[in-house]
Amino acid sequence: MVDYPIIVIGGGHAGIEAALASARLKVPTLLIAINLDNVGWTPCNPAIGGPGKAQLVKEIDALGGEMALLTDKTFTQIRMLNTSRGPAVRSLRSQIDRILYHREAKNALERTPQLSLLQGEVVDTSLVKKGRKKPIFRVTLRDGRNYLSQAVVLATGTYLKGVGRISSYSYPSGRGMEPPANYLSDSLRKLGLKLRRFNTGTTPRIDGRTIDREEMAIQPGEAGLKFSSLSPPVTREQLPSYLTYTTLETHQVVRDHLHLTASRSTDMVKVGPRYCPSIEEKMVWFPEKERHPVFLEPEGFTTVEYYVQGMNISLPAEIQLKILRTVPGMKKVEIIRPGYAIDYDLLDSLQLQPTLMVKNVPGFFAAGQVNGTTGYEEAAAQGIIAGINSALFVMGEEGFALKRDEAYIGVLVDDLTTKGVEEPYRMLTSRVEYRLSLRQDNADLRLTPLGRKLRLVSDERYKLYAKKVKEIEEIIAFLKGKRKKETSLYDYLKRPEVSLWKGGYSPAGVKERDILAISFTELLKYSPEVLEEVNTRVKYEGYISRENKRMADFREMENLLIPDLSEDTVIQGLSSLGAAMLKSRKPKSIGEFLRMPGVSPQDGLVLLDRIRKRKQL
Amino acid sequence: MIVSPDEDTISAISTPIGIGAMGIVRVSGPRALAIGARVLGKNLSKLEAKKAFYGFVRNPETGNLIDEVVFLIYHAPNSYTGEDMLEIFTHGGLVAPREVLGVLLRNGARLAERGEFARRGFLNNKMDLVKAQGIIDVVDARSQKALFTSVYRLKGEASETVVSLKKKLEHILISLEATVDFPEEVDEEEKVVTDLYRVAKEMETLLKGMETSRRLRQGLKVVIIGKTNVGKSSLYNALLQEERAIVTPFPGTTRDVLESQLEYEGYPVLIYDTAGIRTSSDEIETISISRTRQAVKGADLVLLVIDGSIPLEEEDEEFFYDLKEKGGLVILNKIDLPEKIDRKIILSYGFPLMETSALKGWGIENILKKVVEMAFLSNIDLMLTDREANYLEEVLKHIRGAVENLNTLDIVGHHLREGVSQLRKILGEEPILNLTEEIFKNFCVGK
Repeated sequence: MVDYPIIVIGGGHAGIEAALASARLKVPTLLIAINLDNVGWTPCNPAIGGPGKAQLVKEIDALGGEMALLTDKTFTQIRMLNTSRGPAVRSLRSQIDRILYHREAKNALERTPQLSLLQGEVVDTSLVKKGRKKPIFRVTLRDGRNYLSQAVVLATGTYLKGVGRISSYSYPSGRGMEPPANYLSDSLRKLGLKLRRFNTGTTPRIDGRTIDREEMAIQPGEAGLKFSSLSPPVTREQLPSYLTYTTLETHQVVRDHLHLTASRSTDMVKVGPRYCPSIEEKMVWFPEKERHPVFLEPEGFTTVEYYVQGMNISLPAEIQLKILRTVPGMKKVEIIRPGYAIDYDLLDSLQLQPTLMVKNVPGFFAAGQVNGTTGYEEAAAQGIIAGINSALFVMGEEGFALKRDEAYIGVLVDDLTTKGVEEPYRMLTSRVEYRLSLRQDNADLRLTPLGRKLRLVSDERYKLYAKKVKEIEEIIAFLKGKRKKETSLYDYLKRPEVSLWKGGYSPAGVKERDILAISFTELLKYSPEVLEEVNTRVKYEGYISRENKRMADFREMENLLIPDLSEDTVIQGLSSLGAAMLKSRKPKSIGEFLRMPGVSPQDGLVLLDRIRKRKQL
Repeated sequence: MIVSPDEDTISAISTPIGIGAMGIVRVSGPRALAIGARVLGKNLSKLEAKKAFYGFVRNPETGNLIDEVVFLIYHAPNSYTGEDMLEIFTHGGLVAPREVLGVLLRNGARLAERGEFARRGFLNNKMDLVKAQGIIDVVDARSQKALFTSVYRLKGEASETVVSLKKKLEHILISLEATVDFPEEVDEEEKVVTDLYRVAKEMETLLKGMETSRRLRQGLKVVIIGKTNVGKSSLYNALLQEERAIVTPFPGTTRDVLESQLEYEGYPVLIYDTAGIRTSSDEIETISISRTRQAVKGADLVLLVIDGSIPLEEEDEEFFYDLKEKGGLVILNKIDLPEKIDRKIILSYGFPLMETSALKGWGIENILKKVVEMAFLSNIDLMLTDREANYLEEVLKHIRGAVENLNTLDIVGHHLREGVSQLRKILGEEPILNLTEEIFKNFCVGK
């Protein structure tokens, strides 16, 4: 009856993970993109990972997603950040070759059975048949072709009515110089969806042959690192990035031209990401800072283009050049593509359930930047959740949602769906309540069993997981069984000066006699990854068990479910904000209700009492 | 946040502090009976519920007696909270209920939040909302007022101390989070470390204020010591201006430690009269002696009484060890009689010497004046309720935890978050600081 059970609109990082997940769950899926030559494009910086983001990438990987594998295949550089700051904040960061990344992403889509690709601009998605379980959507392309589906995943990034801006010059754009999707917004409104508008921006790309590397600090990559446990070791040569700083002269030139910036010279919305300020905004928000760092990041192995990190800008191209030339090492720089600002339509994410299905339109899912986030990793994380759930929806199965105590993905989706966003949302480790427990190094231990249950995790990945679990248990049993200085090795390892093994992230100056693997060489047969995991687990045991207790409290509140209260017109005693939240957002649990802005603990009590009395009726 | 019935076992004093002849300390939660068993030295699970039993609360580590009590047990769900519960009826006054609560907290219970007993009762279906809300409102109103008055009482420099401590901790936390979330653009690690040391030091100063505050809340413990028949009990009575101790001319009359409470110019003082220590084979006296030792151990300061009408004996001099340990005064008693003592020897120990005749009531007021001066010398900088003091102690624990883990910022972050949220509670603010917001406000981050 339908052409494809699932149609994914958009071939960015959200669309890719969504389509791969649903197709891997054996539900035939069609991915439609405006330009298939730009699938998996990285229109902003050519980087994947970093604090908060690396954890997402590892979680996507643990669930059986693709982003980590694509990154390992294509990175030009990889490093571990926060190495000496503790395992909970240690984060991988990579630079990727954007051309290779696109190629590998497209290849991954093409290799996947049940997954079809189609190029075209979607102009309309409408409900042919309404239904809570079996709706039918019609997806229409600009040339009039129609496709029917049971579920739709909207992953349109910045394409909805996208407008690129360089100063007062503006042009329709999805990203870079690609055409936007100008008709879809209105069709979404017809479906009953609420839309809003954000803006963001990117930096100029410069010609690497015109920079003086001698005047900059070099930032090399590190050997031996990778994101996915499934990837083979990566041995290719890495490209360095370069670090330089703006000068007072730079700031003067920017200040002299502030009136020309896109947001001041046009009617562009001013809802941009504050953690990614443009150089113009930096002058206004942090006038006292004498310099700002500028990172030059290679765009790939086969191009001379560099991304100028920290130089987000929408001033006229000639001014951009003038500004860049005040920066040490860039006196003679040439711009290949100027930086630009972009504003775009997006969905109010409060309309979504934790499965990323729109509350009022069963079968309609949304993922990625269209939900108000920013970042490839944030997009991919939502993509895999929306993909899994669209497949589960078509199969008539219960939805899959991660909670705040299970994964960074859970925090991300919960923030989007219960708190909402007021600016493009970026993942940060400081957003995560249970940061000591939710680490990048144990993402597989946390999520691979869930991915397996969903049938998304391959045998190969599951075997690696099972081996890791078994080895960790072995080492812990060994440590508990052996004694040293009147105590078990397990307890001995808790001393701050003692390390399980040498290497990795042992504290500087650790003494040989304090390294257990030197006296107990049987430990050396295990991989560094496993040893590090045990090391963290033993040393952080007290903290983690306290966190586990808080997590249990959290779950208790999540499990107090709120039934359908639609027949209650008035609930006595609820605050007006509490009542409004209950009505408009329909929280699923008391815990979710309490996280909503303006809801007080007393509202929670009142609602609980109401639910209880209903049960007694 | 609603507090859910969970693994936690909570405890609190349920009666107004310092009023009434009796205090009630309640314990509720899955481990209530186990913790109770530890401090009462009895297997409680076998006892009949809702029936009064007589017993002794002791410190399970040392066996020291804390109070003689009556207690009742309740089995879940047949209790006020719907959980296992223990109610301990202690002696009244300032000290007994607190010390009983203290030993329960040290043995696994957690101090209950405001209204937590009522909330648990509600969540366990023990009462309807109207009733629960009423109870919570009363508890909230009382502590809101206390919170207000305590914030009000945090005056001058002290008020700034707590607010600025909070601000400093928040700033350190924000710097730390900005550093770990944006390691390529922000590096405040060194600043985090040095600021943290500085704050830890300030906190120790604040703690001294807390000691003053504890004395103000719980009373200054002054223990009268000295060999037998020097007039300790006369002094005790004179200080209390009432005949509470039995004063007789026979040595060793005071066999137990007597405790009384008085106020001097508004400062609460607890006076303890002890048995004079003699080498004795009398079994009862041996017990008395050990109680005297205990009282001295818990003293804030001691008053060493020496009989001026007889020459100084070796036995007198032994008490100077306690004086050195605890600080205090030498009381030269019986100055109404001809003086036969060599004052130079006493003065050579370097403690203030006060002259009295306890029997005639001479010099008593001077002693009280001096005691208050010594004990409350460090200014009344912080007046805290027990709850606030408890929060501040938690804060200190977290600051220490942070300082001990400087090589792992993730753990430092954990302690700072907890410490900040405790301080925010003391000041009546939302316990959770919006970190993301603060990072963006304070740092130019992002690429």
